[in-house]
Amino acid sequence: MRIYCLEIKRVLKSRRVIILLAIALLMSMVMAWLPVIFEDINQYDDSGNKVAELNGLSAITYKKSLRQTNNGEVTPEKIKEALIIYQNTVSQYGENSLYSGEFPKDLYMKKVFPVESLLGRLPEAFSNPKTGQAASLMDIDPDKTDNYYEQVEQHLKDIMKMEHKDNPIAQEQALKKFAQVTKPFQFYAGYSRDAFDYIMLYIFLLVILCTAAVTPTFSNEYQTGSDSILRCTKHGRSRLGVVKVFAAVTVFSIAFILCILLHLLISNMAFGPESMKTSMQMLFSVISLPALNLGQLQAVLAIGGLVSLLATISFTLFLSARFKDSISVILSAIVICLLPMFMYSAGSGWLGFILPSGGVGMQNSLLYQLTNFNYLHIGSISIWSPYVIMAAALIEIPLFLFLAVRTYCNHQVD
Amino acid sequence: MELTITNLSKQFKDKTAVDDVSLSLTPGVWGLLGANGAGKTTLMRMIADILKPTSGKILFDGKDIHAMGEEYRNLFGFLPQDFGFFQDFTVKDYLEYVAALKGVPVRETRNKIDNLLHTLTLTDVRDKKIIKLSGGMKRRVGIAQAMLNDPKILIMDEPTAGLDPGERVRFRNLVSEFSHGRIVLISTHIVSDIEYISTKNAIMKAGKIVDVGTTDELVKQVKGKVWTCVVPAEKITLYEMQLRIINQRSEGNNQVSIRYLSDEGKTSNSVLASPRLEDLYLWLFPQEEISERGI
Repeated sequence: MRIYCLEIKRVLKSRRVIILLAIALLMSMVMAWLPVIFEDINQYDDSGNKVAELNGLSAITYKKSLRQTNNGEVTPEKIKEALIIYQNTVSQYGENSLYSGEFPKDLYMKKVFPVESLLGRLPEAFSNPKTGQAASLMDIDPDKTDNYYEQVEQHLKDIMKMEHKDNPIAQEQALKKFAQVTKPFQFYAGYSRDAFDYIMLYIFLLVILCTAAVTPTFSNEYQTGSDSILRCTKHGRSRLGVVKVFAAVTVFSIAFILCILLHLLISNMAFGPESMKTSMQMLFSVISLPALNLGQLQAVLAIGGLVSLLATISFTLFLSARFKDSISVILSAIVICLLPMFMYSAGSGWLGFILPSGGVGMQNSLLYQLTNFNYLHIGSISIWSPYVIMAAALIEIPLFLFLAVRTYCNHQVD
Repeated sequence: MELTITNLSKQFKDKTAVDDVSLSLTPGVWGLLGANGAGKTTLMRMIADILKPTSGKILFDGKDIHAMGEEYRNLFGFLPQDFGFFQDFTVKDYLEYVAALKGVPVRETRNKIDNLLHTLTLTDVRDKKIIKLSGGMKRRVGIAQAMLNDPKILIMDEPTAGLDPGERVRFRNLVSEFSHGRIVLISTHIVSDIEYISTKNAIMKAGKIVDVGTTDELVKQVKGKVWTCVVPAEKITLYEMQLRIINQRSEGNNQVSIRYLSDEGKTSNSVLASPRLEDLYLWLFPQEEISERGI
């Protein structure tokens, strides 16, 4: 315990670590606030004249005030009523007028804007079963929304048939998983999808920063020769190796938890904590498989991010124990961090997901995998990509930590 | 207490750094002499168990040091030739860290650190970051860490490099005092640092131990080969080309006193001098050879 405390003190005294953690903390606030700054809306009087241009928190508050009448359960009746309002209002001017700017602004703000978020996923739910093309809100028969949730389930079946036509097991698994989603969905106005993108971007940044901070753990000591002294001491082999990896894991896990909590706290306070009760199917794909609301989704992303971070730093520790100079370690670690993003874009399949940083990045990120229907197949077994990402990371954490300690113990000074 | 090295060899690709070395180290100060590239550092690293020998064994009181593991390292102190520190640590932080790794009890750590800092005149810089210390101070911090656990076996590779004359004298006294009942092995190029404190010396050349003995025993090899004489200053260049001059000193009046190595006196006024360890070192490792090896 004494060595562990001293090693933690050593890590926290490192100028590189202090700078990188300070950047992480600063960015947690900046990146939580950015999507708030991007929020804007114009306020109109009854004659359609612009009376105010709202930004940031005031824009969020105003938007919420317009949409709050729809807060609560998203029942088929509510959807039908909203669709009728939308169609009756828009039909007078034509749907194109909404995009061309000819639609009266005050009418839009009074009638269309409040129901828009409720109807946002309707075009997807009623999309063409053969082509997958989204329907226009004007073309959807309001009576058909009486069976809205049956239609959503049918859409999931259609999509799974289209994307996994040769894998009935994957189709079955997706339907089973979706059956667990609570219906009717919940909707509480406020939260922005951009904020979720920023959570993922921030997790990605945190992984990069922590990886950079952890790279010198062993390699720097090989490089400077201080290792020759340490490994000659009584506890300088396996015990020091174990202490070093656990101290790094402790420091960077705590740093990650504090930074992500601060980020989420700022974001949720800005957008309103009540919006966390919204079902993720109301913000992302209507057939998203996880039975989560936005608050739970944030928790899953944070925990998933921590697991990916630990897998990545475990791998980096192994590299650090393997290579004799920090530059090789940092370059290799950063390449491995970025690789899943490129591999996903190149359609690599398994490999992109099982790399330690498989769950962090852009399209390959855990968030987008949770809203996608990527199933990976081994023989007759189909596994949903978020499970593959997390299972691989959970296996890699102890594996690479063990390899890091073993490699350190076997290192030869030359 | 005995550290026995038996038929120890280390091969690096196409180079044999240590070649079938056998040596038995008993308590006392041991000097390990040899030119650069002779294999001293490689031998010390193998004794420190941080480098695996290609063949051969090192036994401490009959037990294989590698198999002893933690038990051996608990008795061991090591100062490598080139070493770094945690740059952001102060001297005190660093020594506390090493003391913990050496298993020095918490209650003893503070006293031990204070005593060593005092002995090595580092008390004033105890709270200074190591990065800000001079080379000599860093070397003394290195010596302090090696002695923290009162090791039974203390190995120091070039411990006096970067130390000023006063510090070297203090170091010699410290080692001399410390060595009672312990094995202390010191490799150095500065022969005078071990000449008067070493119990025995081992001389390494091209990976092999070529001789072992007390300073008196070893210098016997150059008895009758060390000469001194006084020569005119204007002829010194000529003498430098013809003789293996160890030392020269201006005597005034355009005269220079020289000390040189030769089987016989080369000038009419040459007189035999008492040989020293440095004379033997230079006899065994002529300058041309040392230069070839990169000195």
